[in-house]
Amino acid sequence: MKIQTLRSKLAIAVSLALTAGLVATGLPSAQAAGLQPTAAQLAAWKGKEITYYFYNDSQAELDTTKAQIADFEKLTGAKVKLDVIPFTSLDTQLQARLAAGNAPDVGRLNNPGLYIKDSLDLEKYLGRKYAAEFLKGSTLQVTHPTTKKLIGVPYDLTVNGPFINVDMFKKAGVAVPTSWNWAQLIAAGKAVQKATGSEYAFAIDKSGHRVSTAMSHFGAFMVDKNQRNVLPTSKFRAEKAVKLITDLYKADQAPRDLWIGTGTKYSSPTAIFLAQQTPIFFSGNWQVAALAKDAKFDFAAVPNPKELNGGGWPGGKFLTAFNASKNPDLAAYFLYFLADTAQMEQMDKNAFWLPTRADLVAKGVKYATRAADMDVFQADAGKTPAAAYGIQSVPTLTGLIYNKLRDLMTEVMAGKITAKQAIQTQSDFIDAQLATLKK
Amino acid sequence: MSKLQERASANKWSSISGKKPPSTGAIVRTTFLLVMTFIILAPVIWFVLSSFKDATDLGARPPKILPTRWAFENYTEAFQMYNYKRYFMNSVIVTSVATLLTLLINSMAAYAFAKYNFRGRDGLFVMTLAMIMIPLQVILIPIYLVVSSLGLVNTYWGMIIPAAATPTGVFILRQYMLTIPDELIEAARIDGAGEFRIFARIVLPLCRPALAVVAIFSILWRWNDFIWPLLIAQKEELYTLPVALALLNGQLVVPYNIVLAMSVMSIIPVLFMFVFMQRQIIQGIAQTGIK
Amino acid sequence: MPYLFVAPNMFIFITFIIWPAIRGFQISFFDSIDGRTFTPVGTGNYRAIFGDPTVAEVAKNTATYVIFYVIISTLLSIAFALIVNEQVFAKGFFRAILFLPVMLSPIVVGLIWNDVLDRKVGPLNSLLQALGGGSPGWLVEPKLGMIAVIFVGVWVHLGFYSIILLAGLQGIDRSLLEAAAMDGATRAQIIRTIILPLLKPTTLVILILATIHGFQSFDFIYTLTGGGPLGATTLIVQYIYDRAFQTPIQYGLGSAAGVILFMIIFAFTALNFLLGRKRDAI
Repeated sequence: MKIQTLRSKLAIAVSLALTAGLVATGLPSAQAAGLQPTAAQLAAWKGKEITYYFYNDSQAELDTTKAQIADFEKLTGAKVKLDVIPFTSLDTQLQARLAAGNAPDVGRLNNPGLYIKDSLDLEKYLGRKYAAEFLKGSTLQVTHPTTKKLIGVPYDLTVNGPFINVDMFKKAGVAVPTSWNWAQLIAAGKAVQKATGSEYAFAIDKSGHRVSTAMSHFGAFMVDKNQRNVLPTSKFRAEKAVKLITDLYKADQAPRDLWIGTGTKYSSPTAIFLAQQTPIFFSGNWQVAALAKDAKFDFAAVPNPKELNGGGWPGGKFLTAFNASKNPDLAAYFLYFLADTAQMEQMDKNAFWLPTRADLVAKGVKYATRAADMDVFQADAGKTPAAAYGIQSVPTLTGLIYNKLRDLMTEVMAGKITAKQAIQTQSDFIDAQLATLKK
Repeated sequence: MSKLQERASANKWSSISGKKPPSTGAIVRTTFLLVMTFIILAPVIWFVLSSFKDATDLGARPPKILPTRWAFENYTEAFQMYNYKRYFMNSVIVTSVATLLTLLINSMAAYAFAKYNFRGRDGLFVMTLAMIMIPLQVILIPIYLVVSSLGLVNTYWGMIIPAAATPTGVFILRQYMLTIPDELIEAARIDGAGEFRIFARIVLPLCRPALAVVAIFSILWRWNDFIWPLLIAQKEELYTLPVALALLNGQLVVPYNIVLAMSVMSIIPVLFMFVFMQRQIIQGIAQTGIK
Repeated sequence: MPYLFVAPNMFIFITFIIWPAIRGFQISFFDSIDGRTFTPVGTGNYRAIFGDPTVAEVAKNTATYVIFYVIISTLLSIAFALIVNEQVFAKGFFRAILFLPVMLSPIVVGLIWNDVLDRKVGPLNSLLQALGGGSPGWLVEPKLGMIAVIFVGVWVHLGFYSIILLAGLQGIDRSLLEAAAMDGATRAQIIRTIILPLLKPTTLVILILATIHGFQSFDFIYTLTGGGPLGATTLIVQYIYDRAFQTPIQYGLGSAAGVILFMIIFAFTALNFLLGRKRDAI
């Protein structure tokens, strides 16, 4: 039985007799007008097991997921097996499972574009209007490129942006910024470095995705929403952004060793920030939970520097259901459950995530702690230029493009090429990659 | 004193000069050994000390040798938060069962190669040896596909069986068995003993040194192996220690101090075992007469 | 009857190593980005590898690493074995210490040396500075990176090779040595003319093992440098790993590289073996 038909039948009944209906079927009482399975479906689902392929950035995410799974199991009588995977082998393991016919039912993914042909068509089970429950533009990466059907949902929105060490700023007598540009950011960093004797003035995650934020501020982008290479038209601005960062690294005012010495592996200077050896740490909101736990100093998220544009750079993780699932309707409902308002709000509060649901963004999530930080990120999310979402039109290529940018920056930092050459090579690379799409 | 008596009074091991400990030679030797000992031990000791430092100490410049505060919570956190007991048990189970299996089937195969003449024997043996040279990464996914089609994914057996047919094990055991006199086996056959009985009751007990060596190598390798278990163990309850370590190391935000603690904890059992079995290991390698 | 004995081992062997290896070989003639759909490309992968400039660099790195690793570890382990052999005081202790690095998992090895070799926070450079030296960037300068990686590789395996050589030394007939000593030969002469030649078979084993280990080095290098700095320590196994496990996934290409690697190792091993045989025959 399709939930879609179910929905139209029950919509009125639920909105009229909300509490009674909820109590009768034993569903969570938080939100109204959601999808509710029928008794027949619940009977069919009882005892069935689905697998949730999952990874977590923080303990809070794991704990909340486990709690929500317990709720779901009570709700439906089905069982959910939670598979926790290390982030670095997320795609490898999933590929291996899919290849062996061992697909999970639902997955939390970083690169949903790689699994387009394995993903379940959610509109079949959750209705065509389901996509509208999420922030406009955020479902681009999980929309099937040809059928245009929804094949996943954005689960959490990430926004890139800077953190600062408030204690160090105070000690140096530098004011905590409420708005600034890159020149001011770097000047502030250097001033604090000088006054406090910290090792570095600045640090940024070793990632093309993070660097794209700086480029975006200067008005430089790589791919637009029509899958076109737009780097050539913003070459000089891109060079400027890249040079700002690589100059700091070359001068070892940013952790040069960490970036150069780790080859193709990801590395984050979080430890350096925690050791109070850099006053500014450019990362993103997913760090809040870990920093809150481990930082022995006062820190704060501050607005992104504004040049031509302000705002951050979007990212995030997605939930997908797989069409190899033996219980696709149950899988779709589990996905729906996790991404539903009550559950998403709970997860956002515990794990310091930003919501992707339109209703939660409108309402605003009340964070118990670090509310000021989350406000800054949410504000920056709103200021992010639309062009930043362009690269999501080529989901199978984003990883490649970001990695190439990162590797080219490594070469600039090591003095092997100039920022100008790096941008030219990056542009050529993007052209080559886009060409593979046409094949 | 005659030279012979001098030599007899010197240590049981062969110092080829035959004289009492010479002066400059011994000093040079001992210095060399001490330097090498330092190069080997120092990094390990540093590592262990680092595992007791908290995040601030770890990032301190210049580095401190001793932690300012002994951060035992690195260990307690690793223990509690990451289900350490479970991972430890899994490592123990996989390592011990795998070693027993390896010993069994490797010795059987070695026996066949050493003491029998059958068609294809040499070809099979060379093939066995050549397998050492296949890079694991290339066959990783095909092995996974095979294991999965056999339904062994996510099982202990899936972690244990595929790698049990170690070429080095067969090689070492065969070398050793070649030195067992054929007459012994012939005599047993004349006495009417069955083939398997001969193998189990006569040959195996004689192979103890070689078995010890193969066992040690197997234990070492299995205990530290993470590539294969990482692929096979798809639920947390099956994770072995190295998998858990790789998991920690691969997170977006790496808790480095806990990684250190967990690494140290994973070394301890192996270290323990080695300290106790050191003599057997060395003797075993010596007696297998790798010539 | 012998077949029964060999059977269990061979069964596991064929199922889990031979058959996948054949599959791997097959895959090298296809293109696959997900391990499920395969497009035949004939020798395309092989041609791509030989035409790829990064492959040339990877090959150079691998050759450099293997040559230095094999030579250094062989010479050092022989020296070590001879010295420990002579040692009277606390011999057992030194033997045990030697073996310690062998027991560490490659991840732990990478973590240890990542820490120790850190340019600013590492104890090695602190020591060097205290002694008046500079602070070299072991893991951030391409040439130094290769040196560091070779050093760590030797550090790990030295004990293993030494123990095998020690065993070989024990097998040398003592009466030969005593006779030579009685004839008045110096220790150096005895080592050169008697011990080393008799040690040849064992040395051959070490050479072969070191060659195989050298070509297959990956885990600790990846943990230590990730193939950096700037690709200076990217060896062929990492090349294969990146093709098979990092985006963009290219199983076919990775398999082809693996086949090439296998053939290279095989050729080297066979060469080693044959050269060793020839010398013995003379």
